[in-house]
Amino acid sequence: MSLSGPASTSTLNQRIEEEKRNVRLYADAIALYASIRLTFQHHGFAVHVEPTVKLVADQMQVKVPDLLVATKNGWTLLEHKGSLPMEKDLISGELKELAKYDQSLNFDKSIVQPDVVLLCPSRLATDLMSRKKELQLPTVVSYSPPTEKNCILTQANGTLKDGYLRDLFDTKSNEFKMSTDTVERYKYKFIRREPPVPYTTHFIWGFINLSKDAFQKKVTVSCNQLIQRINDFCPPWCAEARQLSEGRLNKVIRFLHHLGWIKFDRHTREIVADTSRGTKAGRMEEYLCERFARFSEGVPPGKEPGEEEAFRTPPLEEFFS
Amino acid sequence: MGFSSPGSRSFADYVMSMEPEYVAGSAPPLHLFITFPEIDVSRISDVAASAGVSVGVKQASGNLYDLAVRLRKRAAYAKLVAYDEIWTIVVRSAESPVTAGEIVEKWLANVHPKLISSFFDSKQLLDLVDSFGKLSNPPEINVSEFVLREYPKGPTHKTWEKGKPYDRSVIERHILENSAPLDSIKFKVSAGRDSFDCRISRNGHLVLYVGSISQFMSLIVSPLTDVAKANQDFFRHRQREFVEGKVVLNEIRLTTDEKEVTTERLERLGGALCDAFVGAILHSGNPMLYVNAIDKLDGSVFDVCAYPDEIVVMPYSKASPSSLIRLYMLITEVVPSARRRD
Repeated sequence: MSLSGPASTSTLNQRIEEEKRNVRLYADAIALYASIRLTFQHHGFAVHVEPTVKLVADQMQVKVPDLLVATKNGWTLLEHKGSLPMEKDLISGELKELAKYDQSLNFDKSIVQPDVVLLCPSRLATDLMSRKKELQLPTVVSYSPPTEKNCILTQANGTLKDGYLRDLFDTKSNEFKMSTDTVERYKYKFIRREPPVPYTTHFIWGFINLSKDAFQKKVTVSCNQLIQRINDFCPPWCAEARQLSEGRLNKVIRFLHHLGWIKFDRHTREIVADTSRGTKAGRMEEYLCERFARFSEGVPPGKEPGEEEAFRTPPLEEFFS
Repeated sequence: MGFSSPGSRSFADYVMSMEPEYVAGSAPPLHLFITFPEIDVSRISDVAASAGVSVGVKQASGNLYDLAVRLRKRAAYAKLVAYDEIWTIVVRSAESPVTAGEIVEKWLANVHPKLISSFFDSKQLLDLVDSFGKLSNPPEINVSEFVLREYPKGPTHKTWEKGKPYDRSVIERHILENSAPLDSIKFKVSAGRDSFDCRISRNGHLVLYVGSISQFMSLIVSPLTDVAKANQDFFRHRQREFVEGKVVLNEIRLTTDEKEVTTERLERLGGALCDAFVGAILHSGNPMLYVNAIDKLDGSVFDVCAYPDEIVVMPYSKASPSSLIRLYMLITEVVPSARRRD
């Protein structure tokens, strides 16, 4: 959050576009990771999403790769890049970072030596392959749009070392059509770290609304209830990683409070929400991105179309003090 | 339907008392709404007040009530026959009868979701008209007009050529060509000396213009009440639940015509969902649409995923039938080929 005064219009517009892009990419990544996880799990492989690993040869430097897959044969690390810079130096830098994983890793009290794979969209894989001579490419697995019913993985460059994984791919086309249960996939909303605040806000606003009865405007819900409810119905990947943490909720509470949509009692941790807010916002994700960008850049929230401000927006210093 | 059910004598008497007037053609149009209550009759006034409208209720006899429905400065007088699961509202107003029907229709939209209107998709409306042909003495059907509802344009009236016999395929062709569902159909049913003129609508608003009210009740109202009840039941108990420690989604799958589901149409569906609900479009394109929608009326929440061949609705831990019905109606308005997979 900027404390140096309101941002210029161009900075603000850039920030708004960035927020929208982040929401879109996050939702797409959830669809991709959930598809990979569910499909691989069906084949008996374990998939860890954003696990914490330590680089043994680099003084146990802590890193968080995107996916770590375990089969009976061994480990495969999939680092996801939705896009890469065009300049050779920058792209090489990114690939060099990826190569750092090509060593012994300390993961979950074990030492693992994974096959390191770049996971990227098909169009990016095509671009990379056209520059194969000038770049030192690792094994590349590309994916078709992850939100499709059957996302297709393709071994675009090289082949996977793990025979179990390699056997999933058609030997001629190098493709693997993931037959994901589309419904199961949508149980997962927050499996990656750092979800964009507008994204989390929309879902939490939905869960707050679940407490509402018809024609009821004000809804009271405690933070504990909310966390419990979300984690009950959006089950965790593993016991220790719940989809909604207190930290994520706090960011949303702060933002909703800023918008004047809720009153928050920090002693009882109770939320009183005015559920009539946001009903005329149109595309909610765009609206929240715009408001969050303003919030982050120190621009006052203003009023919603056709609505009066429900709750006083407090100075930030009053919040979480 | 309760027209001839035990305990409905007062309503049946009321309806039958109007038979001579309607047969003679001297009565105003009769508007009838089949609704599904989520409340007791004693709470109807409170609910209306919460919704910003009003209604006066007086018990006439048994389960028959007099209603004075008010919508701002306009009013309509109606009879309500209340059973546990189904309430039928009959409007018969000597003054401006068309307006009276509209007032009740709009009033019902206001008290939704506590009193849920019935709905019928294009296939169900046409199936009813077709069903007359299967009777032992099939009556003659003369269509005078039908209306298509195209999103966001609204209704388009299509006049039926005078004297041309009813042909379902003609209407189906218009539905396909205009990519718009059937909103209503007006027709005359004639069997010997008995006949009636009526209109049946997608939003459950049924009208008898003239003719035998008893025939109208048995051939139109009674079968449509069964269809409306089945529709309601389909959308009940769809919320996400825990079964043996696992989250179970009771999703609704709609099959679609791949040719119809273009990227442009999905964009239109996304826009429609964001207008009618509090919606966030989390993916749009290729063609695929992923929207998370919150019902601003009662707080039901669901994910909607649309693929070329299928639309999947995944309700959260609260998903009222009224909310899902509104959603289904909207989806079929934008994507008319969408059909429930029962």
